[in-house]
Amino acid sequence: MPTLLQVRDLSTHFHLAHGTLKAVDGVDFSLECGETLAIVGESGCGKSVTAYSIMRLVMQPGKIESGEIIFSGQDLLRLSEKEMQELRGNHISMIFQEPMTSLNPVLTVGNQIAEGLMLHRRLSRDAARSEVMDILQQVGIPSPAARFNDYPHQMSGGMRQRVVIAMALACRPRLLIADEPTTALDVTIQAQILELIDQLKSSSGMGLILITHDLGIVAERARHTAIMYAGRIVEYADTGELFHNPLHPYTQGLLESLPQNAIPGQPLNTISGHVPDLLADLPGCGFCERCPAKEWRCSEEKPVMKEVGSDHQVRCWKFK
Amino acid sequence: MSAPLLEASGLKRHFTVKSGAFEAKRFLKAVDGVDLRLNTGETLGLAGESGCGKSTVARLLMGLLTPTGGEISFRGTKLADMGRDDIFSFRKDVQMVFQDPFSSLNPRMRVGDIIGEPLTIHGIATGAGKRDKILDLMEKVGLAREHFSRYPHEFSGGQRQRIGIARALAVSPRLIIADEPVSALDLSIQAQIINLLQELKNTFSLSFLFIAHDLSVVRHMSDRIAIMYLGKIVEMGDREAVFSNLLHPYTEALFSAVPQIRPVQRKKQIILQGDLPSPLSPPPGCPFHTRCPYAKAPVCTEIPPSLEEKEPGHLAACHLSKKLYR
Repeated sequence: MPTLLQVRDLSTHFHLAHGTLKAVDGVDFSLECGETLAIVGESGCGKSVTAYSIMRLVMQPGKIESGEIIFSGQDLLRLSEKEMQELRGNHISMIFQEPMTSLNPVLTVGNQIAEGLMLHRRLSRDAARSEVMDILQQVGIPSPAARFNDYPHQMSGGMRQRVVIAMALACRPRLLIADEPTTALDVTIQAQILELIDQLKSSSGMGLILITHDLGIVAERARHTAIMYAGRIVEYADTGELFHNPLHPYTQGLLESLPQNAIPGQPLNTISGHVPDLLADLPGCGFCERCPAKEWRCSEEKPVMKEVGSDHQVRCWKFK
Repeated sequence: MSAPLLEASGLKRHFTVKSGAFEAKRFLKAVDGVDLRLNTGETLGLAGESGCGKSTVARLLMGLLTPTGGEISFRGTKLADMGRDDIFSFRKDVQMVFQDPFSSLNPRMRVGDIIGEPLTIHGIATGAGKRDKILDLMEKVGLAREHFSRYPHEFSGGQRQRIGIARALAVSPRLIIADEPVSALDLSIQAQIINLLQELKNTFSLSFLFIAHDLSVVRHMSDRIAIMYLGKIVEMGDREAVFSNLLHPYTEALFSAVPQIRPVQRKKQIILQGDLPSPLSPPPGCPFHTRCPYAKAPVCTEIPPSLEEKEPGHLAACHLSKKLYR
């Protein structure tokens, strides 16, 4: 499969009054056409900022400091804002976490979806309308003709998220970034939505970056998984391999702390402490304060990404 | 078995909804006939999707809402019969831990004052004794002494949840109602708080009503489990009985929808069609028949099933026995 997206050494920093917050600090990964890559991490690890950086939607005081984002042969960071607008919502789309805040409350859902079609594919109002009906049907909204004129507040959470998906997929993007697409939803609705995204993906061959903190979703849906911690990818592997043979102490701790992996009633394994302050300069590994296998160099030198197997990389000094 | 600590029978809470001046009143049946019992030292897990009424049950049991039907008794006394003093001591015995550690702490109070307020209200300790007691509580929940005079905004989510837990523990309650206490927390912090709750339960022989939508957390924490759907309990029983042998089709679908980490645990997913029906106009008959893959007319569509003991200690509200739908 050809490479669809290649991110090299991406750094996005936020310049605040009291210091520079390195939200994303040297992230590399690539994505093939038709592949699902999961980016996993806790809040504040930089997974959403990575997504916003690819979309070039990072707002002040945030700034993409360095790196390359190669999408089908061109570096997105070198494009003008106008060229980027041509791509955004057209070839690259994004599904946001909160379906209520990512829809415009004063526009009907039909018109919101049609907007992208009229802008990017220059469809007439009528042509866009019939296209929207098809898409609403595809994402499983019953009686689309009646729903076309509904406002977002008239729909349930699951329906709204379907509308958001319909909007993201309207122009048949080649890359879809889904930032916690089901976190706000119940599990039975979550199952419907994830199944839908998978179906649409396999029928169109688009690449998917799935950002989540739910390791169960990752295990079931993603081909590759990147674990992020404190602005860096600490482990990247084939999903099966990662769950079978986690190598980074953070990944290991995360998997061991899950209630699913424990005997009911027995104490869970925990990772002590909490996430480091990203405003402070971290000369070494971001995880070293909490790491059970810490060595002298961990707090002084940044570990580099090491290839430890086919399709398995880890950023830890234990692997030299 | 010891006498129940808390018991609810036929518990109902209907809210009146009126959308226009000339429109007829309608009833939202948030909780519609719930029977449950909580024994001393036991953890009852209450699970269900949003809108199923689990938080309303919590608020009814706390005495924060008055039931429109049914009754609650605490240690043998009915809540409705309690006088002012009884209610005051009931409020001490039953404490709550809330979901959102950001909005459940007063941002203008210091940590020490937040934890100490219930001690003052219930006249448990004053002066230096109170300060010692607060520091002791802070140590038990894993907060440092120097946190005493800080404000809530200086803490992370997990630490704020620890403050909320210390506040609930301050008055030595018998029962803690925890409404989604870990769902707002990150994975690695979630495990810390779950362990803390388990540890405190054993140290202080507390009873817990543990409300959560994450079934793996409910399984880990609970001795018994109740599953709610549209204001009713559809399945209830001992943890292992429920998890090893699901009796209700809704529970089956709910469990199969949880993404699993280990491939061996992955069963065929039952993907439910459609959304939760509106509690304003719940379907007649079995509330689940609109989404149930096994529903049979006319029995499921017309007659509401009652919660019956299908196996020893394992109740379900379903007309179809297992053989029928498998």
